[in-house]
Amino acid sequence: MSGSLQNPADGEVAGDVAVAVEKAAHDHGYVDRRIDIAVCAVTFLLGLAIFILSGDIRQGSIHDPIGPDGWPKLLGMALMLTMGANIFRRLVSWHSEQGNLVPSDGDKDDMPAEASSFIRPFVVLGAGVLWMLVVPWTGFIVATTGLLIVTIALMKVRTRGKLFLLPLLLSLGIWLMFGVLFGIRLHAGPIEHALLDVFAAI
Amino acid sequence: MEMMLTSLVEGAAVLARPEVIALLVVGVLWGSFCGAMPGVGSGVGIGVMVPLTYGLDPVAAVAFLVSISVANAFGNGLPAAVLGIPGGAAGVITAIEGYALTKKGQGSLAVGTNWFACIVGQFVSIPFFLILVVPLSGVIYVFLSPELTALYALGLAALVSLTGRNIFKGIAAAAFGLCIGLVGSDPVTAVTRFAFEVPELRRGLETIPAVLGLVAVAEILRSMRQVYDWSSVLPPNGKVVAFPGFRTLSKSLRPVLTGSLIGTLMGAIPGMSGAAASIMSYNQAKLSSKTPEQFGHGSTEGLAANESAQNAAQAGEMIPTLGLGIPGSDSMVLVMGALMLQGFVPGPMMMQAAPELLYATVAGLLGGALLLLLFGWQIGKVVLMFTKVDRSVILPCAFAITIIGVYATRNSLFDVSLTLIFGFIGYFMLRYGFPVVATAVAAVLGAGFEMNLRQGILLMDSDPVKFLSRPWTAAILTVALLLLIYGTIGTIREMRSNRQARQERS
Repeated sequence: MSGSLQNPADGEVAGDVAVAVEKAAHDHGYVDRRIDIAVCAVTFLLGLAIFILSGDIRQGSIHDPIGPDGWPKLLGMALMLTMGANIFRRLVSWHSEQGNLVPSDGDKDDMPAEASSFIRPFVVLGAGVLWMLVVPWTGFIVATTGLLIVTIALMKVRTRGKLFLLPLLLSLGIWLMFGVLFGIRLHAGPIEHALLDVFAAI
Repeated sequence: MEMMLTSLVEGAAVLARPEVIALLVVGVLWGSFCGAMPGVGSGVGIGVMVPLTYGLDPVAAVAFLVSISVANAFGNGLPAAVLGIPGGAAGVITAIEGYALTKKGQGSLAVGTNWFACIVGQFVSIPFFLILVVPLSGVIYVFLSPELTALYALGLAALVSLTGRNIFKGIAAAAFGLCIGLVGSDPVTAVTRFAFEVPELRRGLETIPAVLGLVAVAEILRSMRQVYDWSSVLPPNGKVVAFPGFRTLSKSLRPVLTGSLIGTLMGAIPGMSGAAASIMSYNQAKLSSKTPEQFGHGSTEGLAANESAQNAAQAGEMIPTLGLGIPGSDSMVLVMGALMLQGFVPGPMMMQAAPELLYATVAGLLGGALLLLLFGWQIGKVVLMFTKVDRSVILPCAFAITIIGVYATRNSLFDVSLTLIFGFIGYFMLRYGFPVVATAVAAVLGAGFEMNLRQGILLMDSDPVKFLSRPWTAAILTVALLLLIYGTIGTIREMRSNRQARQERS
């Protein structure tokens, strides 16, 4: 499982170009200007969509000088103007900058000397989505234990105690904490009755 | 003045009762714990305890519930400072400044500053609360939608401090945050906007799942890009929990005192949250700081200003709750509910008919602050110890606890999906220089700004001149405009100096 999630700089995943880009990015706090422009373009399109969709909002029965569409239109324009300006700035300086790596406006990685994985955050996010999908069927404890095992394994932990025992105990602990302290009963799925019997016996 | 002294003396007398002390200890521990849990907050913390107060003496019950609220504000900042995961919306700036300090190996300084700002904020706000509770209760009657709009504008102007390295991206991030408030029912005409036939969206986007996604999940995802041990960023002597010393902490006294005043005043206005107070205080601290370039990169001044304001806002929230019977926040709704269950009707008459409840509030505020003074650092030390645990285990656990906290608040998987979506967006925002804090704060303030602006204009017969010429509105909007201009100039200067430094380096 971890094979596909290894650090690109180690050469275990992706091609040489991706590795070089990623390594330079986290070594020097640089980003690929093409992705930066793409992110700005998506935000620009979001602004455009808000502006256009605002036209479909019904006006309602109360006459209001700003109207239900006034504020959304203004915000849509703000997104388009700011992102348009940013894309323009990037394009104007396109030829004066060497290569596609440009100084990042964002945060660098915590440890410049350490390798970083491009894919791991997305797999973690995917595990979160999977948790959301399975929790109605498996119940909270099984789903959370699974989520923790996957995400801890993604962080290259291989100790059995940390990988299996800790997730199970933490899931049980959280289930109990919410149930007993906060009065919020988290659905435990098929094992709910068995668990309640165990705790009742204790 | 006489009322203030009487209330302080009577409040201290309430504190001398052993059962009150015992309840306050429980309240402080419970409040800190709930504050530290992402998504749980004071609403759940107080809500769970309200049924237990039925059988209590009203004075002890009020003091107990107030102490939970006090400790909750303190607990909110702890995981934000140590792990970058705020317990709620008011902790987002702490997640930036405090966590930046922790990543530099100065976690003790972050938690110590958090504790110091909390204590000073609480103690300073109590006399202000007592001085202001009667006069402010009257002033609040003239604070209608135009004045509230102006206050929201002041909060939004403060966002200029959070624009980051690229002002275009900063404005876009704030605009995106404001867009979050657009979803759902229109505040004036009640027509549905941007709901796309999704039933859950008709009620509007919940702010807490969005904010936790943008700030906490995004930061966890960013941190999980790398696998390393915290020992490499901890102090070389291994003293993770060394107290930074009062001399070091007292350097933040000026922003703490200013933040306390801003927090008390802002908290007193119903509808204005601790988050709004903290962003205004943060902006004020940055504008008056000798080292504004440190803001966003681990500034103790910024952290102190933010924490003192949000803690002082707790006392401020009591002013409309007790003085007018208008709850200042969701937790105050529950405190009011508890009072009504005890047979009291909060409002102007209550202060005369049952002054002992004012004394109980003072006891809760004072006792909570005193207990945090005694045990707050110890509680902070426990959270700091997390940095001694394997980082590769803590980050996945923090991810799981965040989404479970969001899920448990309303038993809603839709809220979890919102958190994950905003986590995904926030991750890209972090990577490509869009300040997520600006988005989070704008998301908190956006809906209130639009609602009050439009309702205010309607209230003034759709006449903008009438709207703008109201004395309080005009005064606050002028301050907001000046702050915006001053802040923009400061941000542009900072950007230029950063660019120059970068060119010199290259």
